Amino acid sequence: MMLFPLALGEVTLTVVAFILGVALGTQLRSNLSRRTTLLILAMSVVAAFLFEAPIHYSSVLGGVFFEHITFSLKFISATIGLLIGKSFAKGGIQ
Amino acid sequence: MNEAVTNLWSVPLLIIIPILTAILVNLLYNKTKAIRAISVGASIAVLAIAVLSPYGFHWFAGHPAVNSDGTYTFTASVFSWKLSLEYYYGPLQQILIGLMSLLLLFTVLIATKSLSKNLGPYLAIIFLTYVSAAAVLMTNDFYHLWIAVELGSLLVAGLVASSGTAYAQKAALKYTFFSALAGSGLAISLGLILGLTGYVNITDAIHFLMSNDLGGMYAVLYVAFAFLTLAWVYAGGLVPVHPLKSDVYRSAFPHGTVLLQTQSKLMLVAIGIVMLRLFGSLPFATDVMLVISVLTMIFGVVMALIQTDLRWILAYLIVSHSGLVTVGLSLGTYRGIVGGIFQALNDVIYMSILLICCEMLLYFGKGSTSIKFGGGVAKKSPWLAAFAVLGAMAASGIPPFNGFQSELILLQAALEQGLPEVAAVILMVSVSTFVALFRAIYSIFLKPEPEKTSESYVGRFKMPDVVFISLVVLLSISLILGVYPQLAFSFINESALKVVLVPWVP
Amino acid sequence: MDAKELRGIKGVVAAAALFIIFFGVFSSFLQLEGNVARGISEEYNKLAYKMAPNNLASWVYDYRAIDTLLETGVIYVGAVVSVLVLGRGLVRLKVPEEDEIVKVTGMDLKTETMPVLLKYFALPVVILLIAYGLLVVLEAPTSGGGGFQCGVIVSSAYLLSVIIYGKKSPFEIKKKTLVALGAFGWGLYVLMGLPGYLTTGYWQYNVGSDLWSWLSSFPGEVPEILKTVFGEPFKLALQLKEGVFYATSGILPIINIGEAFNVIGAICLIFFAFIYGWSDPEEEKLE
Repeated sequence: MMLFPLALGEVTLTVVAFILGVALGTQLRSNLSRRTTLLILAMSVVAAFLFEAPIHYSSVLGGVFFEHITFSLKFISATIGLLIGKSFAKGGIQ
Repeated sequence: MNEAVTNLWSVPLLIIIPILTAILVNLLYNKTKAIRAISVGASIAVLAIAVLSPYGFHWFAGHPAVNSDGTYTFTASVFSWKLSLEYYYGPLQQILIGLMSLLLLFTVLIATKSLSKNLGPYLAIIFLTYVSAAAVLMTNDFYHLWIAVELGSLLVAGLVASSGTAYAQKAALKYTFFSALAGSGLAISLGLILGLTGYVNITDAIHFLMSNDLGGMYAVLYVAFAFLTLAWVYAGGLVPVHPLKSDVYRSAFPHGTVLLQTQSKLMLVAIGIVMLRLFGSLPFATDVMLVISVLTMIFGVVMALIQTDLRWILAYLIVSHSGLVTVGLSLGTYRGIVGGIFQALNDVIYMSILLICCEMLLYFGKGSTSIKFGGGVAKKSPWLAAFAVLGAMAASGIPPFNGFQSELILLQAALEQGLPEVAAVILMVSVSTFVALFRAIYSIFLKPEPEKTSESYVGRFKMPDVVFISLVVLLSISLILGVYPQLAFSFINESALKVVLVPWVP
Repeated sequence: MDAKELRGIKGVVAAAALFIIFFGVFSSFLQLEGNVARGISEEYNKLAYKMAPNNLASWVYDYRAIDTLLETGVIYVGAVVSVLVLGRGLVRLKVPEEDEIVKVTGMDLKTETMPVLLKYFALPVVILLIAYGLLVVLEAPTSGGGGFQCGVIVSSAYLLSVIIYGKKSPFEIKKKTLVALGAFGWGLYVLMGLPGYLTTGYWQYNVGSDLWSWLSSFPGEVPEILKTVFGEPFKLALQLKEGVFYATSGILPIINIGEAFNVIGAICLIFFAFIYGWSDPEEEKLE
């Protein structure tokens, strides 16, 4: 149980979400303006707040900041992953 | 051979190897050589596994069974509730899956030889058809039975539609449409049994039914039986749906039909055995099954008699002979069950011979198998004609071929039960099969060729080696089983006894 | 079937059959009400949380894993067959045949009339939808969700993108990628059974959570390294009334990801074939 303070189980999936996001993001071909990018990020934070962390999570790394204010970090990291993955893809539409 | 083992090594491989092969060949798509190598290798592998495997259970996911005192056990026993999904590989499974693996090998060989490019998806479907039938045969679990039947009916549609003709697509669509009904029927049936007993494992469910008084709930059991019968009828193409199934048999390529009919007959046997185990003691249950079977035999063979195309004749005969299989099962006696299963085995063999001959005819006859073919094939390809004639003899139950042996047992079983009418119908099927087949065979193979023919018919037809070898192998199996049927009985007897005496044992 | 055909004797028979079926099913459900035997589900309830906090996930992906494997196969086959009908992998005998192959062409999509506002807004929505799909698949072991749902969400993002932007859409996956995604997904699911099979002999034994090694009758043993690799990364502390339990879902998250990829590949491939039609490269060269 030495690993537990790290909350490995709560972090792992956030990392996996990022990797999968990058992988799927490479299939997106379009140029986003900076404003749209910021909009997407802001929306993802709002959505992450609405989705909340699973009820079994208890650490900050899992997205639990206070008793009732929890964030779904997976969602945010997936969005960031998608945006980063998209920047790898060549060519753009729009 | 240790039967109590619950992690038998062979069972998952029989399912997983074909699945992986299917994924791979579908991915390779048009690389014909690689596809051929992989699929032939895989079918040889499953054949070897089926032959070499010992008997036993496999509990997928490795969860134990719960004893009545709450402890857990990893030893197979009837009196503990299984947490895992259970597969059983016994003598019956061995002979049926072994035969199906052999046919899979031949089908793959012929398909890779005779079809043009982009074979991947087609072979994937063939391998998954094998998986669905193997799963239905081995599983001892209602829920899984349902999924395997669903998968199977979808695959049948795929195998038929792959020729891309309008007729085939129509047949596939009709079949899918009705199989949706069968699938939901099976689901309702499983839901009711689950509600009644609380177990999806067939052994556990029967165990529960035997040790608990259902009281007024017997009506529910009848409804479950009705829906299971519906699924049985659809999976095997028995009477109300026989036109759909014969459309399917006709529209697939003949080598595809080899596997299709194997799948549907094995499903008939497997589901039929489940029905007998679970509902065999219900009054009227076997009577309903018997009526359906007899009607199937009659309708199938009558339709076969009025056809003018060898492909259609075979399609209807396959349906009619499905009735022969189920007649044996639905007699419900030991001899009847042995006869039914043995008939399924023989049927698959001789129909495969005829279907492969039919495929060759498609080649030689520019895509036609009509009895207006022109005749004279016997002169150009004496081997093919010989195989067709011998196959037809086996199909019509003429000794010394295998069809004779199983039909004899079926006749005896029917007479033993005091049902001479059924025996008469069995005889009639046998005779009509002879008439229908030899009418076609005479005019295609034996009749002298008319004087005027187009140039393309000139010269001898050369049969591919692969086809020749598969025909020889199948015909020799047919002969061996005809002369020495005890070989098959040693595999079938035990299962038939279990169904009659201890239905809760898989 | 035409509605007219249902009049007369056919209609009467159909109505009678439907009535009988309805009566049978309905009366059985009435009888079963309150009398349902709980059977094996009690045992599952007792054990499920040891695998994953979400009971449903541990039933569907662990106790009944081979069921779900074949169900995943149903989706896969559905895609293969649908796309086959539309043209991928139609086979012919090497001789001329009587019947002609049916040709299917792609859809005629007109997106010029789409409002600019939608075009501006759709791409962010697509990106967020994909992120939501990923969230759903990754939360499968702890809360509602799973591979099927993720696949459906992502493929709806794909469809949305095509509907708004037309055939040249920003979320455009090549057909080879789609086939590969499906194959990768189902293959991953299938191969996740291998570690358990090799160490204990049971296919799809969950080596990560390793529930049963303590039983003396359990054949085989899971090596520590496998337990660590498949178990530790997903370990969670469950604070229940009875105290704190440590549960790891083991291979379940990986299986879910495989499942998700399979469904994405399968359903997007169906959409793809309907929208673009299917033509093989060699045929294009010939034409």
